[in-house]
Amino acid sequence: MLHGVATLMARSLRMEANWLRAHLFRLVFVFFIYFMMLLAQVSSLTKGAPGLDFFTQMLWLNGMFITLGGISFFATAITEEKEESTIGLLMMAGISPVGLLLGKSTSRMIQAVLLLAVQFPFTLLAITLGGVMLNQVLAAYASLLAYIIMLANVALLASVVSQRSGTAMALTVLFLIAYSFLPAIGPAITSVLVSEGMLSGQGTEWLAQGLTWLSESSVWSVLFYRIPNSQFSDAIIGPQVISNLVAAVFCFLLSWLLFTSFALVEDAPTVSRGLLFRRSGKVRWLSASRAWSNPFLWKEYYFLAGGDGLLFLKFVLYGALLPILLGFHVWLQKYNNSSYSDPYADTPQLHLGIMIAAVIIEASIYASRVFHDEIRGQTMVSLLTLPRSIAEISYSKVVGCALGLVPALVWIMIDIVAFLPKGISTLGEILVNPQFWVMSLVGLVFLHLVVLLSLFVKWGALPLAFLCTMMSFQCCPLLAVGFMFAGETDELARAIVIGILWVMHAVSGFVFQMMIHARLYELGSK
Amino acid sequence: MSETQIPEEAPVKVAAKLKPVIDVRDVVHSFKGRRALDHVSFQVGAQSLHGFVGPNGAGKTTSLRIICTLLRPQIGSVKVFGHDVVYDTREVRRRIGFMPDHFSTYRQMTVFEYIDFFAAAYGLALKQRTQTIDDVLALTDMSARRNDLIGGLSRGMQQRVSLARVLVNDPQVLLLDEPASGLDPRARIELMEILKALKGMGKTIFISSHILSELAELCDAVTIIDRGKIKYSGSMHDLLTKTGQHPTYRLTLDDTAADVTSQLEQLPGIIQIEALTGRPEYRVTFDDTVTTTNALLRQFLEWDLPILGFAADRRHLNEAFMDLTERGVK
Repeated sequence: MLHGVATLMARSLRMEANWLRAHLFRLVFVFFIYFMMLLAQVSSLTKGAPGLDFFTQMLWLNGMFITLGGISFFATAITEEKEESTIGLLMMAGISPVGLLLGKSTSRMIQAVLLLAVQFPFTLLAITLGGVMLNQVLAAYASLLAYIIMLANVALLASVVSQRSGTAMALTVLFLIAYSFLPAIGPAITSVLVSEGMLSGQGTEWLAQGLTWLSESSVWSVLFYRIPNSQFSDAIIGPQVISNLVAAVFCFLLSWLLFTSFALVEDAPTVSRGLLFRRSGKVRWLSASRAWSNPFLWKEYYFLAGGDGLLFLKFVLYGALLPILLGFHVWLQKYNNSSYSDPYADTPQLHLGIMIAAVIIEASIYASRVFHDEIRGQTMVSLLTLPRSIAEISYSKVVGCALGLVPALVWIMIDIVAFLPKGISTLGEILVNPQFWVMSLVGLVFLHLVVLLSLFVKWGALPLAFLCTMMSFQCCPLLAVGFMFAGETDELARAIVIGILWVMHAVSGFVFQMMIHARLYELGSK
Repeated sequence: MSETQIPEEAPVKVAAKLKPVIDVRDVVHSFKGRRALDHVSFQVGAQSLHGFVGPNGAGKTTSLRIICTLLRPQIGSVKVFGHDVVYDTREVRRRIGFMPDHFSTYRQMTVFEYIDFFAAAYGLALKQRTQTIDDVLALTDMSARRNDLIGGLSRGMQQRVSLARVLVNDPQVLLLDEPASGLDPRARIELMEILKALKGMGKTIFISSHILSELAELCDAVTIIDRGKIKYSGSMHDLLTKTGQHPTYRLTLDDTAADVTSQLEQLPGIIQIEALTGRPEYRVTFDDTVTTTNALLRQFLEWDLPILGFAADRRHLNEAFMDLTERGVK
């Protein structure tokens, strides 16, 4: 077994050493560390002990890098072998399931842990800068280490039970959402359930204990609330470290147990069309129409956005959210016995917020998938031999995806025009506000980045783009500074700042478009 | 004499007299410093079925990708119907149909949706599309599977769908990169039958393949490339018959015939007689400035040899390929 594990680990480490992307990832990470040190140095001129700020920023950076990078890094450990149909070959080479699990996941875990190890001396500088004690630094790194081990093993379990990397990543994300948000919203839900008499005394106790345990197991509450606290005096190996390690061992054992049942099952070539039926079927109205004169638009509308059926369903569901939210609001008001809020006025605003979020999320998902099928099916070559330009094909595809946003956009309009007081004039004010267009440009640049990254990475373009955007805001806070100046009363200064922001984002978008064009051409001619 | 074959003029020579459909001149292309194509020049005649063979990594796919406008030649020029692939890209694309060496399909689409998508992409009107799709599906024998999902089809059928896609704009030139690779023998034979039918319809087909026996049977012209250099480009007939600077014929006698090697060596103009082992068969190489095939044949008949065949000695394409790619052009 050891031989197999060592072989797999050596192969994985060797491949990773030759992988330019991994080095770039580390380089970006190191750049951020240096940047934070620089910020700490600058803030030391005005502040007494900048070490705590530096330390907190480092914890944020690590938390984000581990979470966003780890999702795609760890969750593909076994699925990539499934997708290449190499699991059977590895088993025939005498590698046992546990050897395979260790060999595939341990090497990745080591790489992630190395990233922690190399930055540790830098973080110790926070003590020198002042405001942080050694036990805080040690507790933070123990906490991060346990979190990495847990994330790697949860993702490994997801990778074992999933046939595709996308599914494994989605399962890991679901776990992370539950892990991150349950401790935060749990107490609120419990108190509502108790007040409605839905929980008995014993049940409440159990639930409260469970939520307390969850809260103590959350790396976020430990990293961002407990450890940075100047009164911190807990043990370095706290409940979060222990519970995360226990969860990691449990997930590893479960992966081992389920390996034969899931990982060795041949993946039948299934093709999913969602709500899109075939024309030969009985539900013809839910099938794709004949190709439109712009077939790229047609293809994305039906095969990515889901076509008429999904659009109709989304419209109904988004609409149904309005009375549901209203009912919930009324119920909450009754429960709180509060007369401060008006459910009939507040609900459309909440619905509007949700619809705007839906547009952003849907657009981001479409951006990450608009060329996904072409890359996966190696169809760029067929598209590029058509008598159409790359730009024509790309823009048509984007418009096809944009049609999928129609239900949410329609509900935004309905919310603004029909429910909000002075809706039309508010809409007018928003549309003539230059800052709205700056934010729209920021959104567009982000979507361009998602598309561009999706042409380079197999999975995880969206979180990667999010990470890059967040980091660029952190490192180059031009937008925040710009908005700060945009609030000035001097019209000329305001116009100049807004103009600079417009030009800056337009240029970024243009550069991304050129890069997308070049990459598409490269993919087609490969 | 039961069967005597007189060599005839190769059909490709007729085609070659027409203006070339594909004209590749002195093309050089490198990838990261490695020269994939080194001053490559060849022509493909109109309405010919032109094979393109070479070992792995010889430069076949690069050449095809340059011809179909997916790559720009770094040096040299490539013209298709007189249109430059760099400057008249759209015109070239309208006239060609390129089938890559992998399935380039949307698995979640039905066969009909897929062909309809590409027909629309080529700008065909709705009414015209219906008829065209029916025609290409009938030609590729996929009519019965038109509502099947492509992802559920066998490799052979997916290859036919790809071919149907290539045909949808009625291109004058088909560029096929390893179309038979990975197909079972039946699917391969069926594909070759379709190609023959397409050739009969007047299409020019430029096909890269490793299956040399099928190419030898199908193609009337061939280009052999090795390590980025053209080793041979011309008629298949010439390649298989001309083994050297002198013509070589194969004389096959009845099993009852005695050894006639010394007798044949006496004839004027004979350069070499090679007795093939195990049967009364001889490879006769002669100087065509001294004697002719007719004169030789007359002599054999005079000697009353029990002739079963006297025909130009055709090498297998495999032999020619091995000779050219291993030892260079003779």
